[in-house]
Amino acid sequence: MLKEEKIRLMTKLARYESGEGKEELRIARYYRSDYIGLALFRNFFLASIGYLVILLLVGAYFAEFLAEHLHTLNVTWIGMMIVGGYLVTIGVYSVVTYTLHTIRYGRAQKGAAAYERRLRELEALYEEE
Amino acid sequence: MENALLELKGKLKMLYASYGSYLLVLFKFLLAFLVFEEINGLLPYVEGLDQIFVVLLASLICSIMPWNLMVFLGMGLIVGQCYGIGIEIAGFALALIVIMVILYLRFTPQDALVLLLTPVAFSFGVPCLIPIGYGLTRTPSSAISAGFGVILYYFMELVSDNASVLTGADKEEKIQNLQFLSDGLMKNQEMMVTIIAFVTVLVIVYVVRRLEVEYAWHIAVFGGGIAYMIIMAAGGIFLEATIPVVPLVAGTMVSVFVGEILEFFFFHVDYKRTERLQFEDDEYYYYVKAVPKIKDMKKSSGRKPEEVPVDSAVIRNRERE
Repeated sequence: MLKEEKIRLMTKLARYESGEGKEELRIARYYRSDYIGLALFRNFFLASIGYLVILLLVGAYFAEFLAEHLHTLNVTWIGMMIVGGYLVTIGVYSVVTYTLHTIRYGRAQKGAAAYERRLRELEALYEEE
Repeated sequence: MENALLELKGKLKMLYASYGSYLLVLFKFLLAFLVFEEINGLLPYVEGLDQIFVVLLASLICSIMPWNLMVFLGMGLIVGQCYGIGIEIAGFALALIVIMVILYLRFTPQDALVLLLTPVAFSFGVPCLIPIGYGLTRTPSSAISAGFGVILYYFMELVSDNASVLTGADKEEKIQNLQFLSDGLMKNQEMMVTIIAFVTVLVIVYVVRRLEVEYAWHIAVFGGGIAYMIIMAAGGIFLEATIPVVPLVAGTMVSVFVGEILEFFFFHVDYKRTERLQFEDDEYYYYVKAVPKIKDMKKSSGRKPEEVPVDSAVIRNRERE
């Protein structure tokens, strides 16, 4: 026997699952610390690659100058600047990543909670039958 | 006039509700085709990538896949075409894209398409359409993505204009090419002015459209267009460059016109499309076609109308065999 209320509820659940729920349910499966920790870990590598690419471009741009003046340059100072820049980049991107993923996690938890509530409603309908 | 528009609005809603899925596929196909053709038009250096068959096939794939595949293929096409000039040019293009993606776009992947739309808008002479369109439909954070789009366009233009001098065989020439490209971008004041104009217009359009005043969206579109012309003209005077006034004004007018069309679609037509869902329980398989209810909305302030919930379902079911 078809029950309209049940179908309506299942439709809503299916719409969520195939839409925004796809991402939110995936996020909500993680512990908060795991989700954010993993994002920070990934961010560390990506930001490092990004910084390295910028460094390579700058290096290529000044390649001739560097080759000619290498003996007169203060290598220690340049090295410190590079390391300092790297630490600042990683620091700033870690803060951005942390904030963004905290917000995303909160949003996913809310969405997943509403989804669970509907699932329980559906379960109650089954029990009624 | 008002009645005709309302009638059109109703028809468009019905059309989108019924055929939205197909229209989206068609739209994505046409957009992908346009984007790839534009890239090939600017950078026609690898014959294999420039073939209509390849472009059509790629567009076809993009039409049924997520939006970001179009971005990925577009970026790949840019790098590939640059490879036709020299490996260092391709390397520079790749580095530029990697920096943009890693340092910013990975946080807002939904904005990535603007990287490809900006060059298309430039080649159609309507660059102002990008900040107006994104200001109407997205958030101010899109300004950074739009700025990246400008950089990518000027990079492509730089390569396109200097392709003949960028061919270098030995190591020194390759390094000189990289320096030339870096200089060409860093010292391109026109590009800087355009970026400033894009960011300013996008923020203006976004802020104004959210104001709770009558005709906020119209004011936002027109204000954005005027701001764009003023900044570009002022930038031109400041840089002592000759500004082609007619293309600037004409392009901005067209952008404002298209912005008005966008306003009509986004503000008046809540286009929810028919969805087809499939699920099952212990007794049945359900093939549900959820058709959005079409309701008229009041146009009162600059705010977007509330969403109309989809609560009608045309249900077809088939008993489990």
